[in-house]
Amino acid sequence: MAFSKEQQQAAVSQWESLAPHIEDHVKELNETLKANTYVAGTGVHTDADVKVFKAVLPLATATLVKDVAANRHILRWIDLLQNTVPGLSESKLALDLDAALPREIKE
Amino acid sequence: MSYVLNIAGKAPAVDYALLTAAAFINTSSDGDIKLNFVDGKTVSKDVATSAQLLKGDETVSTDSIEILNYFGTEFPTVILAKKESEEWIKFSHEKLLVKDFKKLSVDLEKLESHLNLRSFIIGYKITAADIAIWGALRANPVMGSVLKNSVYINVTRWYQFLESDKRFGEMPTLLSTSLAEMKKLSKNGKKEIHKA
Repeated sequence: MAFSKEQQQAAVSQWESLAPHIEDHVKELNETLKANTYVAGTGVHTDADVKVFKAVLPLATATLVKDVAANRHILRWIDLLQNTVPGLSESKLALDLDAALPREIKE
Repeated sequence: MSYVLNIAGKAPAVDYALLTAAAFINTSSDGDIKLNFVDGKTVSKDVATSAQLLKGDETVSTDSIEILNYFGTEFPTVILAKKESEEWIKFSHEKLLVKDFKKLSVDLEKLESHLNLRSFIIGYKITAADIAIWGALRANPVMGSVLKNSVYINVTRWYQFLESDKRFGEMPTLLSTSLAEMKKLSKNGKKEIHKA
């Protein structure tokens, strides 16, 4: 989605403040990343991406990967960040990028 | 040596991919591609295709797939992943310009599932494959409402992400304003001829 600069800044602050409680906002994060490559609708990653990534990675590794279809947008974004932002995590989350998933239909 | 890229602005499938590729090359340090828009369905009477690349006075190619591949060879640090992109470039021309939605939807579903866990077509950067596919979808009149309504959720996310990059999003506008300018100029020209 094409966010204005102001909307992007607001989204960065919002996600930075949600990062410490990310376990309560998994659905929202997935919904956001459904329509946006990065969390704040930017063309490149922001501090918010980095903070949310660090917060959500343990949860992703432990739980979210068990249901790839439901969490596909978060997992897509994790894979993007772990392969493009140096020094984000020590070990990469393993994902089969060609996993057969049911097609999502817009609600 | 500088290049001229002739683009038929009224072609059934306007070559947005080549316009975007040229924008990538021209915004890099080694780029020098002059864009020349033609107000017609083909490049000229003699060149019956939607695009033509010239190097100096010599025609490099009049085939749009060949031209994109040529850019990949000549500008490998700008138009990335030439080799891996080839099948996608072919796919974009053969499958994604189709206007029959029933046929088109089969291939859009393939693209949709490819983008389930990917942010780009190949790897983690914009490559020739992204440029080719984006250009084909932009040129296909069926796709406007399909993209707007997020019929294919991943395709729409990927498409809009690229569109927000000026090298993609601003090229269709550049084309239409250039064509409008030309029309204005030729009208004025005619008037002057009349006066004389």
